[in-house]
Amino acid sequence: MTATTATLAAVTATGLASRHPAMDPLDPPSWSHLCHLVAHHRLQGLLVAAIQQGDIAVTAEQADAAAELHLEAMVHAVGLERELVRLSLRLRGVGIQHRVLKGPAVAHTAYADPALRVFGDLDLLVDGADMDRALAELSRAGYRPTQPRLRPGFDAEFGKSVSLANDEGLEVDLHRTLVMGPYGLLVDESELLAVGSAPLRIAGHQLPTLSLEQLFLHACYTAGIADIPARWVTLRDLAQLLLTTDVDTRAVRDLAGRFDAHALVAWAVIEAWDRLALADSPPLVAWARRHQPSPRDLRWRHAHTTGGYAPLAWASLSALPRLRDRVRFARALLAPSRSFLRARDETRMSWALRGARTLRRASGATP
Amino acid sequence: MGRAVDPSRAAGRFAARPDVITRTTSRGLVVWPLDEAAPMLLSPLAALVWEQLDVPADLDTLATRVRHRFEGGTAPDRARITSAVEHLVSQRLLEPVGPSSARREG
Repeated sequence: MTATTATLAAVTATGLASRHPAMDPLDPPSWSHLCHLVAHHRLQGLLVAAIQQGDIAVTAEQADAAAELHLEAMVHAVGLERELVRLSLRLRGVGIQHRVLKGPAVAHTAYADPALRVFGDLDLLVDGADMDRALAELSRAGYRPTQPRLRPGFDAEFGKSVSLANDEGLEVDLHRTLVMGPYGLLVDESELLAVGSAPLRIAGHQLPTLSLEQLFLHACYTAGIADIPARWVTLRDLAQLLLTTDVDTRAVRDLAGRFDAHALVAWAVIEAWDRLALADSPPLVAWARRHQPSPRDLRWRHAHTTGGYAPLAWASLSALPRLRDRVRFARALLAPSRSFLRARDETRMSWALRGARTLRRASGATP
Repeated sequence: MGRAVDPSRAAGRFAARPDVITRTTSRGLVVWPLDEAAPMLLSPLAALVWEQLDVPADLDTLATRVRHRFEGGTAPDRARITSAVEHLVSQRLLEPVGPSSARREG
């Protein structure tokens, strides 16, 4: 482990009981690299906290630079939250049930001070049946999809999310489910929307978010398969939720069981505990280390790590129980809309050939 | 809102606006009221005053609360606190609440 990575780990684990040693100041090139990684992994708040608590030693100039990085991130965060309140009230106003996901939700429900948790965009979950109405409402609020959609109706039925941005560059991901690919197809979003939410109060407004258990499970999806290797901030979210909140881990396992996601929880928890070198070991960690993923779990994880859309799409077919859904899913992938292909500089033929090549490569490397 | 207030004369109470998004940083408190176009960065004293007025208070009560936060250190004097209140009122981050005898007289 390089000094930069060790410092990053110490920063991520600051305030938690961790076996990471206190770090000496980095030389200027390493510090510059660390700052880049801190911004990418959304750790600006934890960096300042780690400096204040003496978990990492820095020069006066480095402390100053860290404070500036944090200030910049916080100005962006309050801007995003202001937008979040506006959009949530707007969706509520037209009767669209929704939930705030990820950054702002975790910052206010799991961290003692939301300034510790940095985020760069907004994520909202809606029912697939409300996806088009929600997109229309966000369009009226100034948001446009950043990429053409695969096929009309695909996102509402099979997609993970639609990414949108406004003229000021603020980004919103409108989710139908928690993760792309087969595991995402097994998530019942109506169950996520049916359960009462954790308290999320911003600027005097109560906003709907997931329960602590659902937030934890979402972080497991993100760390377990969506981002491999996981962002440090997601690993911290997992540890933060498990060690400092009343999250009910039995309820987490029950929920994960209904979504066929036990393996994801195990992978994510083990990665968080190993990379953060956490000293406390709650029962869920012991359960995760005992858990044996099924051959199907290993195949699906492999599809996520192989890269490219085709292996993931192929794996997704097996998660769809009804033949007619498989046919509609395959047809959308094999014959995307012209605008979708044009945005990627593809023709139908080149798209099909590239998919076939990726699939062949992926199947050749299947564990 | 928009009405001139002289806190040094006002006997009224003040309260922090609730519709404000905030983040604490080592550079000061970042605040962004929902209906404003841009965020503001408050000095440590202004941030402290603003936070103490989460529960409405008059200037005497506010000064006591601020003094308690310094725990033996040198607390800011009344004039500095009043100046911070004036600044926050001008930024529309504080609202006068309850009757103010000074304004009633004026």
